Amino acid sequence: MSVSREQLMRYHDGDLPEAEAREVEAAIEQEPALLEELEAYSELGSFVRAWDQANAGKLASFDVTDSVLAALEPPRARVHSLLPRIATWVSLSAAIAAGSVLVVRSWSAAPMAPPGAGSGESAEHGELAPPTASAPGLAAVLAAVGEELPKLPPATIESVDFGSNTGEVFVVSTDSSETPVVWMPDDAEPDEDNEDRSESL
Amino acid sequence: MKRVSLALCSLVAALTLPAYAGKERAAAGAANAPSAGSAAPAPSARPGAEQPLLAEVLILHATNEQKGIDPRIGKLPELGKSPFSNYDSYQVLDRARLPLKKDAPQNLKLPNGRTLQVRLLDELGPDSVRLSASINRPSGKEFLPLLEVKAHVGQAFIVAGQSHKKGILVLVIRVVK
Repeated sequence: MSVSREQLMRYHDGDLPEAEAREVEAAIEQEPALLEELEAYSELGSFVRAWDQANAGKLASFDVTDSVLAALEPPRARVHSLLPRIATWVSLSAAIAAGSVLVVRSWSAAPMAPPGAGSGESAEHGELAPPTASAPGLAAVLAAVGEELPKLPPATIESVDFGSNTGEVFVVSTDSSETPVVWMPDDAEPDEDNEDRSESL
Repeated sequence: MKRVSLALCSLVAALTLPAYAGKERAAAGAANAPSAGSAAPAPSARPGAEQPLLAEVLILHATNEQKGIDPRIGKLPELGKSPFSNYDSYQVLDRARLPLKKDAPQNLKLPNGRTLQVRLLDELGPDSVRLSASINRPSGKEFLPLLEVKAHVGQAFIVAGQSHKKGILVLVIRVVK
């Protein structure tokens, strides 16, 4: 008689009917291999029972919530790792903003004399530099934002002495200014030492 | 840690580079002449910092040689108005900055051999002065004995008309800081 593995397992578990169990026992007596397989089932059962007893406490305390939170732990760690990067970008943004403010302030600063712009009796000649597309001055910046500077009175000529020469005083008005002018036509005799000096420039 | 160091280096660079750029721009701006009669005073580069007052003298040669306006003159709309518009060519002959100090007249030799003397008479305010100007011949004789002007910083006045090489001299004198 041939015994299937299912029958052998059910025999091991005591689930076979009496008649069928007798048949299995007869087959085991004829085939020692079936006996060895039956003993293997017994050992496997003992192992499972021993493991079950050893992990009974763990199984009883198993919590689905803890398992889910444990699964979420890696993303939380990723959030922490982003903090230095965020700090870097914030620092860079602050640096760029501070630099921009300084640039704007330096653009709106007025032209000033170079350091140590000369003193003493003799005149100090400046370098002849071509005008550049200069930055808008403070007046232009304020005008751009709609603010008005207090209107200053134009330069005024308080007194003039033409000596033995003739001349006239008038004001040249432009859209942005009124400039006083002293005009002295020089049609008289040349100076004794009126040599040409313009070439030195 | 490397990122923090990089951020700090960037911060230092961003804070220092514009300051250097500002210095260069200010030095370059010292050579530029804004509108001669600009009513707006030239603002000081450092608020509250005491800077010496200067008389910036721009010496122009006006002719009718069809050379046009020297681009180094910059914005000077007065040249488009009469009687300056009677000349079609303006060349920069010289530019000088004379420190304005009381009891310390400053002399500048003009291309025609004469001497311009500028002197601070009074400081009427932080940005307002009274100054005098005169022009003497090489022989010592006076050509323009005395001219007294009241001006704010950034404002200018013009002395023109002296004959020079088929044209005239135009002196644009501006108070600057």
